[in-house]
Amino acid sequence: MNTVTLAWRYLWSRPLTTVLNALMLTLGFAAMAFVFSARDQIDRAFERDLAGLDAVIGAKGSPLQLILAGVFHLDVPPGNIPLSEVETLRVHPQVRQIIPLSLGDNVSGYRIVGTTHDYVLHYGASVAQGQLWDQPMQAVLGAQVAHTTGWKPGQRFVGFHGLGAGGEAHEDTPYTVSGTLAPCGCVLDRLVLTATESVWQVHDDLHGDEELSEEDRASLQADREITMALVTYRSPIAAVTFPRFVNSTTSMQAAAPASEITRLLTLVGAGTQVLQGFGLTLLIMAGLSVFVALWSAVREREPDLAMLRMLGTRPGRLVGLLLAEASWLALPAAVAGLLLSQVLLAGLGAWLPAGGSSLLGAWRWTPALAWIPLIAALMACLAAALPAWRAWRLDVMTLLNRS
Amino acid sequence: MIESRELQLAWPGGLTLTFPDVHLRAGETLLLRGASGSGKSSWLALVAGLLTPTQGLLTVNGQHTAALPQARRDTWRSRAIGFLPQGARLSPVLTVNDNLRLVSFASGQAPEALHRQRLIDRLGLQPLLNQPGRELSGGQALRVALARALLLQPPLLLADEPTASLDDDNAHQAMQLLREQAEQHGSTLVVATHDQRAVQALPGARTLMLEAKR
Repeated sequence: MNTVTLAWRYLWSRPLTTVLNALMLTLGFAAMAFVFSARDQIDRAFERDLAGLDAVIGAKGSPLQLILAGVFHLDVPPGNIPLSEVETLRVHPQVRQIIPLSLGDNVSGYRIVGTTHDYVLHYGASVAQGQLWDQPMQAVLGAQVAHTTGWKPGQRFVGFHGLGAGGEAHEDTPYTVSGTLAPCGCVLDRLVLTATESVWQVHDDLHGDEELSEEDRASLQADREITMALVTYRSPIAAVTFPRFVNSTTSMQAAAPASEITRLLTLVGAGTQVLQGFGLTLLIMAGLSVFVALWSAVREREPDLAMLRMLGTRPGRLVGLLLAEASWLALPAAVAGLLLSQVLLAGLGAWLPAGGSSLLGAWRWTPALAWIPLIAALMACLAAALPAWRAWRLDVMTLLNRS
Repeated sequence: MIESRELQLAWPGGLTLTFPDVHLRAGETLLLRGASGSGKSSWLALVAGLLTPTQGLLTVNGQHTAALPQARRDTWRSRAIGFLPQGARLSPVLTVNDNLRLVSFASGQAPEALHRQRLIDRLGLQPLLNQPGRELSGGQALRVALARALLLQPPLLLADEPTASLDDDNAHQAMQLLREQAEQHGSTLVVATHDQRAVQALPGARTLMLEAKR
């Protein structure tokens, strides 16, 4: 019989205490692992979706709202901006590229975004089936949208007004799926992409049966709007001057995603710290409970430990035995906690609306999760330390002579 | 086998036990007698290396145990001494089988399978193997403790009050088993007792009378 087996036998001689302690530890580890994973996944999602974008131009309002709506498609945009003003910025010497985005409709909760092929190229997404749109009212589905809806090229669907489910259907202007994108792990996965003109066409036709004259159409064309535009600079110096230029000389605002997200993460950071603190408190309580269990086990089992010493067990092996008992509790609880955290993430990912669902998900390895087994090992050592010291100093003769 | 001269043990608090000199040859049986508090258990613990004498010389099987470092003394005890403590001292939460396995846990040495099975058969432990220690009667527990003490066929068997709290039948059986097993394995047997039944069960044994010399 080895130390690990004997530790297991002793542990299971008190099944209820063992199960309750393991459960408490599991919850503590799950809370920690959940926070580690969620924080890392959100950070990565932000980093991924922000890659290469220097500014977002949109209607004046909250810059954070503009970034959340324009880059991550998590919030509603602050309003529309004139296409003509955006077009004048295209020739600005500090601007390398402008990608227009037009929002307003959704299908099955996924946003329909009117844009250009540059948007797809920017994220390096590739076509999985079919092709990109080559005329208005053709749509390309992001990987998650294609997976959820099961639609293939050739499928027709109608958009619904608004960015959330429940709006009015645009029955007269159906889209045709021209292609689907391969998963890119970026925001495109959960978008339906189409030509900017598609969005205009759908909303022009909102005027109903009323036939538009040529003059009206020309006027509409001149007043065209988009929702926002993603900007990349030619040089880093533009970060200082370009937003100021836009904010002071146009009716639009330019927001820098990096600084807004840093601000957001500072705010979110407080929340994650609270959660992390909660997880840590749970863990400390669980650790204390393991310590109390081991301490009382050592007290109860002093005659057994004395008997082991009598049989020739070295004190160091008794210490090893208690450490093995604590490890039997802590290490499987760490594994169970990791699994539970992934189940929670999967549940949360499924519960979030379609737009945010790819931000969080299960079974995505986060380096911070490596801390969980390390914390478990440390906790086992700490919980076993004092009981082990007691076992080491055991007075064998007194215990053997005790009736 | 056991040689002791001018052996003394001082307990914290000022109590000092002085033991008579002993010269015991291999295979002999020794009855250690004396009133409660005369130091019978302490003498056994000194021989087993569980205590260190404060004065005098003690060698067991040629080994000066007090000179050994703690770890080596523990290893030596696990292999050289079969200890039958007062009250059997089984783990109440482990099965009989696991209680027997503790010997290999303590010594790092597995008993011979054939010898183990013979002991189990001879001591009638087969039907008890899966029972936890707490469910055994006094007599059953003693048989398990005896098997545990003999598993590694130690040259020296120490028994501390083996008949205490046993009824006459069980006390008789226990002493018979002890004598038989010691003879069968050629072990030197030392029995500490103040029970007349144990004394009568070992008629040819040498006797060492301990008095409370303090």
